[in-house]
Amino acid sequence: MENFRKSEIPYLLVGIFLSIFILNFLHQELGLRHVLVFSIGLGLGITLYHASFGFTGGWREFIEHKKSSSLRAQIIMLAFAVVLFSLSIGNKSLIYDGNMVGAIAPLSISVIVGSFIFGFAMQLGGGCGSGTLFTAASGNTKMLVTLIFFIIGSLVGTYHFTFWSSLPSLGTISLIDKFNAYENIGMQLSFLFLLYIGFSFLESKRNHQINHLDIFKTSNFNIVKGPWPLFLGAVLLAILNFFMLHAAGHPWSVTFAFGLWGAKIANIIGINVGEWDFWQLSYPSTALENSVLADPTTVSNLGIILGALIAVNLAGKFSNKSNINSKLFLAAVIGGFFMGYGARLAFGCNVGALFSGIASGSLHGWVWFLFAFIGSIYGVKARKYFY
Amino acid sequence: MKNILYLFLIILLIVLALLDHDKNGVAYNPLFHKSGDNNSSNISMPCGLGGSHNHKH
Repeated sequence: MENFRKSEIPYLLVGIFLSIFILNFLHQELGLRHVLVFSIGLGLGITLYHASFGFTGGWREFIEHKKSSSLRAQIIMLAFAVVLFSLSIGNKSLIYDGNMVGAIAPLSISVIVGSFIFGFAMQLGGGCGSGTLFTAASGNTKMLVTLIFFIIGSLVGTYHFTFWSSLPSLGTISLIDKFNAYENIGMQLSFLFLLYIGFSFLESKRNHQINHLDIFKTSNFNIVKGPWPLFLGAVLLAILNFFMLHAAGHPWSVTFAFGLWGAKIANIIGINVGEWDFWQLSYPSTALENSVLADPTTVSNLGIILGALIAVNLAGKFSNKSNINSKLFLAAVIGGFFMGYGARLAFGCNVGALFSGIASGSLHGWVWFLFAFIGSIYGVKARKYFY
Repeated sequence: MKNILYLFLIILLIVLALLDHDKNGVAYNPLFHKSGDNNSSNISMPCGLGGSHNHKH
């Protein structure tokens, strides 16, 4: 234990104690599958923190400097997930006796607008859906502000859901349904390979060199304290999302819970969100009326929060707090709010729509990727006014 | 001091979740399915994904 900062050991123990408490509570009150979902969340939180696996910074690195290591790791993560998911979706879970569903959503105007807004806002807020969660939990003050306004934006997004969902849509397009699992794997892996080549080409053209092994390496690798190489993070995230699919019956998602938390708080202060169209849909109405802990997205988010808290204390960096000034505060407010709003329009964030959507063979995931990336290009320009 | 405040916020989040659990209970567990239940529309993805009955497009 002498390798850890002694001052951070109590916080590490608190994180472990809280995790054990919630595991026991979920086991007593909700059952084994909630325990598994929470455990997977813990794994996601630790992986996200130790591998520093975020979309925002990686995209910005490519947009500004054509450095593609993070994007290449994300493509590898998607490739693993496409193979694992294609052979699972529609089949019986390994954990419970029932079929699993993918993250399939419509190809619609709301997805285009929402993903563009999200991509723009995440550059201001400084993190995407998963990134905001794990960095806020690991002690980043600015990201805590981003998270609070992410929740508010998600709630406002649910209020406007009727308008956005009434805009033109091509409906859901699932490659697994249109073709079959193996054809889907072939098509998506081919496209991911082309993307990998394209990003690599642009990096080598701009910087006159590219090191494809950079994602396998990190300075001072330590399995307990981190940091971990991007490749390890990519593989683990794909595997953990696969476990989530089998435990929850659907892939990993993050932002639905933010809207739900906002709706619960709004109810407490006297706003009857149950009258809003979104909260009368099948799953949202069930989630609103039930315990928040019955919602698997909330449970996995709690796991990510505590996983990141444990990881940051293992790394000895919980005490490294950054200061926040008025400009950064404003960036966090705007970024957080519009990420939440955009995520509701786009049926999820970089996790629920991009990662889980593409892994599930849903074309909306690719549309999300394209328009969020375009939004990020403008977001990187706007960011210069705040950072 | 900031560390203590952070822990307080995390614990507050958990306490609020427990209070909500106490108040609302679990009338319907979204992860509970009858043995042999293969109707995929019963297992809706959050925010309306998954179950086609959730979409109004």
